[in-house]
Amino acid sequence: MKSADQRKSRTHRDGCASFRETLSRRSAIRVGSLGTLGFSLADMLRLEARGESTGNQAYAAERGSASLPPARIKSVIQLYLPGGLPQQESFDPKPEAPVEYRGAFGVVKTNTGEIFSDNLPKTAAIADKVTIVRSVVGRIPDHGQACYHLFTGYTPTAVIDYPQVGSIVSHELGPRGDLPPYIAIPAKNSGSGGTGFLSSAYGPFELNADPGKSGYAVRDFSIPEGVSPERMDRRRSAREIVESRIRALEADRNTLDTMDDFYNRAFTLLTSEQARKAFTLDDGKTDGETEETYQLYGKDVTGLRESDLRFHPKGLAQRLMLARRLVEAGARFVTVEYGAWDSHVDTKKNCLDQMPALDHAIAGLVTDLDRRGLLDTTLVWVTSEFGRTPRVNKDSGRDHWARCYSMLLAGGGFKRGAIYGASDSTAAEPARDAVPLEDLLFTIYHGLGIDANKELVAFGTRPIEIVKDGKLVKGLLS
Amino acid sequence: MMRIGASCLPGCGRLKRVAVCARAALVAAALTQVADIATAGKMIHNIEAVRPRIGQRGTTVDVTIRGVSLDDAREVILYRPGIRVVTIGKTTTLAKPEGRWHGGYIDQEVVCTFEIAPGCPLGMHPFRLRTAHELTSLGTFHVGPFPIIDENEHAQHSNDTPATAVAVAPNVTVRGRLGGGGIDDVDFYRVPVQAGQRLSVEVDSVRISDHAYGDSEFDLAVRVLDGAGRELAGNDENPLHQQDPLVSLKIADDGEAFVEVRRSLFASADTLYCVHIGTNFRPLAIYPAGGPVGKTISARLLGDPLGEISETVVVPGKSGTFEYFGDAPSPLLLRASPFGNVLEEPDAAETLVGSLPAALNGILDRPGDVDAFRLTAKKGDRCRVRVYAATLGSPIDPLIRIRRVDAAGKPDDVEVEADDASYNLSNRDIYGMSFRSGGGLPDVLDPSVIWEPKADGDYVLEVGDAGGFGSPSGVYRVEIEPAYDAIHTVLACWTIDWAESMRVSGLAVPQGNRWTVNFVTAPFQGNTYGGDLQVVGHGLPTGVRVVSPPIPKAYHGTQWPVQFVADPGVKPGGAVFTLEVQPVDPSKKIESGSHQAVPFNNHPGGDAWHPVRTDRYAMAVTDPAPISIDIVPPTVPLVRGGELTIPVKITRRPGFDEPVEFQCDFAPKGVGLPPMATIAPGETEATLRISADPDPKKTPLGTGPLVVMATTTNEKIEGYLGVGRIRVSSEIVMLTVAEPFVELASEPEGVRRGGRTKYRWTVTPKTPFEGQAAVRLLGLPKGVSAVGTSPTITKDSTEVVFEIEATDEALMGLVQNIACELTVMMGGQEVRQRSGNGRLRVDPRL
Repeated sequence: MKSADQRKSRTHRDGCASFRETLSRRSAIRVGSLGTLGFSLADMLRLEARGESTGNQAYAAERGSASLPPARIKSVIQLYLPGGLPQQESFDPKPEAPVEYRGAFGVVKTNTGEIFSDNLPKTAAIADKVTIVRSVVGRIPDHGQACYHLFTGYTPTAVIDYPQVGSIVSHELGPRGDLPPYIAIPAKNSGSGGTGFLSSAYGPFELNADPGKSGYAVRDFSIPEGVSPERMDRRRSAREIVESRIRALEADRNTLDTMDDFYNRAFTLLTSEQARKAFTLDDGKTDGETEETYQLYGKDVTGLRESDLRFHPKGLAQRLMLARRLVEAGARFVTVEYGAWDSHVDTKKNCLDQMPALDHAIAGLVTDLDRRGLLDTTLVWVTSEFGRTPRVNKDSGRDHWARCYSMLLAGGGFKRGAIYGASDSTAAEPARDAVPLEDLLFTIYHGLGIDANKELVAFGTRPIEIVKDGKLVKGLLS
Repeated sequence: MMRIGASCLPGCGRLKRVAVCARAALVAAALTQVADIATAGKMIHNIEAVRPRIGQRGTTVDVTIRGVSLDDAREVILYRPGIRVVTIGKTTTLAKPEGRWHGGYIDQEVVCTFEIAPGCPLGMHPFRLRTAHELTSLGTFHVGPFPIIDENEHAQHSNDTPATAVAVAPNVTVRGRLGGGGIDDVDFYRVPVQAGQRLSVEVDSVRISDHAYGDSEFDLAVRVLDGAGRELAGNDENPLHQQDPLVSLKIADDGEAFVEVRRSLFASADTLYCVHIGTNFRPLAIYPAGGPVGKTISARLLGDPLGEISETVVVPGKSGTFEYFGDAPSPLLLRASPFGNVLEEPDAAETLVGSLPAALNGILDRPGDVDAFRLTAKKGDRCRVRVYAATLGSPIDPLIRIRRVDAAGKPDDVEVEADDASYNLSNRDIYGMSFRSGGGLPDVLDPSVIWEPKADGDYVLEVGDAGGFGSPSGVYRVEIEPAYDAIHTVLACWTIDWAESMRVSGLAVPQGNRWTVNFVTAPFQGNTYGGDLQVVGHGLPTGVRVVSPPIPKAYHGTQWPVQFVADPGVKPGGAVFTLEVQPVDPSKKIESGSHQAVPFNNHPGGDAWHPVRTDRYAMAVTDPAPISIDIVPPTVPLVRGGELTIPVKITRRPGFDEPVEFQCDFAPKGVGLPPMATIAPGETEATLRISADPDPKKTPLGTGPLVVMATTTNEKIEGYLGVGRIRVSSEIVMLTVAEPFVELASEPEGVRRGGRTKYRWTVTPKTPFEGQAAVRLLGLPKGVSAVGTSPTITKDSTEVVFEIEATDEALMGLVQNIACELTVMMGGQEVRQRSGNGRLRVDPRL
């Protein structure tokens, strides 16, 4: 719901589409300085950088005056399952569909009386803590484009590179404590875009290390051996002297400012005990985690044996435990990637390989967050870039399907124990309450206290909504 | 990239048009589908490498065949004559497997001795290996005319400059390797030359590649330099060999020439190549590019740096495209046609064509050149007009127009204009390669149309280049003949990337067992025959039978199961055979042939730079399998919208207790099939549950074949392409698809939370059935359920009523896709049918 002022403003902006297209940098500055709030453009940009732009203020005022709940989400753990999770073999089984749609698995009853695929018995047992959306609507059944769409809310264009959700969160809300606001475990997916038109300072801190593997250590996240913190500090001072000289000669101060931001954050990370502790995960040796917690997340749960004779794949438990530790320590948005779900061939084997660990880890994470009292302020978001075709193909697999698929959401003010939306009899199309991806992102931003209607200024002149044409899905919220 | 040189070959712009289109598609495919390949299924081929790649005819060569699951190799099955395999060594397993792209790897090798006859046909010799239990994927070996030496670049970059060039004497083939690593490898060869002589250099790289997947590392370029380092000639791409460079020049001075072989683009990968360095005649085109079958023609060989010559060429006795080598290591392509040649009259405005059918031959020898042929046709004729130019290696991109000649004798409006707008390869006699952008094949540039003249009289057929290009070697040939009926059999690799899969297109029949392959019947351009077809095999081993039901018209152009049955007494062995289709009606006859295309240098998405096409199929009878499979032929029909269960039984050889997988590989159109299922160790029975789409458009009524394949499993080798597995087939059984028993429909109904309501469905009888059929509702949401036992109907029922109730858990609003399922007992077997698409609204409590 929008306030009257906001609606007016919006109408004005909508009516000025051609104006926006032709807006020159010079006229933008003039318009900015003559705005109703009396801000210069520079003022506005500075405010935006601090997450205090007019859009958010108006939105905050609206939230306060309307019946919408206050911002509930402090942190998001996004579990991204690249390749396309089969909705039929996970959250939206179709046991009554014809054989060529049904797939190879049965169903399990959830503790709320619904059914999940029998690949997810553990998650079914905590279904009263989560919401399943069975009617998400994507746009493009292509990995690269759908992944970009998922992470940014926009489909790729040749003209504008849009920022990821994590980058927007970082930009709008900034850090909480010493930790980077946006963290990728183990690393950012290469097809998911980047910081887009925002400064690269809002990109994710990438571990480039897998907490599920032995010898895990975050690269570039430790003071070199033999270097004391005091020596680090001296080196930092030396760098600043050199840099100030460069700054005096260098015309491109923006770049230097960005670099400065990086250095400062890196230094904070290197010297913060809080951060160091949050990133530590060593099988209970010093991390303070109990074996029971590791088992709760399914540390030893494995799938089928692959042809390389190794159990495949492992490490999700540790990745999600680390995500929880980072969230506890103040991270705003942690994206975790797990598995390879593009099962054009033998979906059954793909599921048997990966679902046991996924099932344990989701259930473990949600249970753990709930026990710690963090679930109300942390959103767990399990997602793929799209789902899979209703019909099983000739290779016993399923292909790409973006027209209707499922996601899991837990915590952060989202309903508990709900199934939102429904697919039709073969999981092909939404049968009710379709949720376009943009609406889902809008609703997540809403939970975070970010007005997704807000326009960020790209290239100095072009205002671009955080989510274009998104709507709040009230039915998802408690 | 085209380098300017003394022997700069024309037409690369045309070639680039194909290559660029294809490459753009490949890049896009690579960007978007890498993830697919990484997880879709490992592309494990039996044969990943054959070394060496080439041998000289008249010599004996030890050839190492490398790959996966090569145990107990018994026979090399060659498609062409000329090579005798005198020994097959013992298979050895490598200490450390070598990885290949997309999951393939090498962990075994076997050395075979190839005795190459002095008269062995030059060029590519495809083969497969028969092992105790498998027929391998395709491998290739090449035969050349020149003595062969190795580059022997033992120390990396030891011959990267003219100063360090490897000295060779002309008329030699060098087996070279451009190494990987961070520094681009360049290979130089030093050749003694004399003024006035010809020096011909041809590189084979893409054309001899045996990599299942490859990329720009196979795109090589060649230059010839003089002793002072000046470039005398160079080539990157050319119409004859596409990515493989070719250069031939007249040497101006006595001394030495230096041949440089390098990549067009840097790629950090090993690339094998052969460079033929000789004094041989190297024409770029032949004119006319064909002649009547079984005749001798006098042809002009064009494009050699020392000038044109005439040669006598004997045209084979069978229609088709054939090779002419002369004394060069690679051939020119010509056509053998069942009709005579008409040669363009260069000085005449129009060349008169006496009668059709005929092959019109000409050269677009200068920019803007358009040749015209006047011919006579009758309304009602159906002619196939096929242009051969780029297909044969000509640099032009032909465009034809057929104009009616008006009463004044002048060409009038265009009746037919044909360029290369379609990438339909089957119109160019190429099957089993539904690759993107025509797979980069130049054939797509040549038009091929069915022309039905609108009136009796004279017509003018014009031939030009789509871009106004012309060249002294711009040879073309237009074959005009009455369209004829032809349907071919095609063994297509319809797996992801069109990668060859022995699971899908292999033919290894265990002794005393069965194997079924789905062949495609592919109607030729202009085919009108639409009657039932029967499958006929030629050249199968004694004791091997082909079983396949007649193919109805509805399956022309699609897959159809063909079963091979090996008698228990037949000896294991291999064979190359053909499979054709002929009308069941013996009074009718059509043309038919066999086609298989196997991609090499493939890319994600299936665009191969080097497809190997064969006109015969290979099969093997292998050692007995540890399993056989039987299914119980259904005695009741599968009704539209229905479901049927078919018992499956495995017979295990004593002692064999591994899991067995089975899957229905063919069923009539509209029949839905479940994914592959596993029969656990110790078990022998399972069921196959199939369904029929209720839509009459998708599910034709009638009887069609159904077959189930079973396969052993292999924990070590991922099974997508079928390597390392033994497969057997059930008998082909016939399944009848019938009308549904009933149709059910309902008006939208509503139920309140906490309430009950009658949900009425009207029943329209369609096919009588015996006794009572229980009916249940499908698709009720949580909180809504039918009360009591399921109602029943008979063949005379007109209504069925359910009592449903809703609890407070039921989500309010409209529920769609509610259906009924009835269970009918027929012949002691449960037959299920679904029908209806009901809607129900859940309302709040009052």
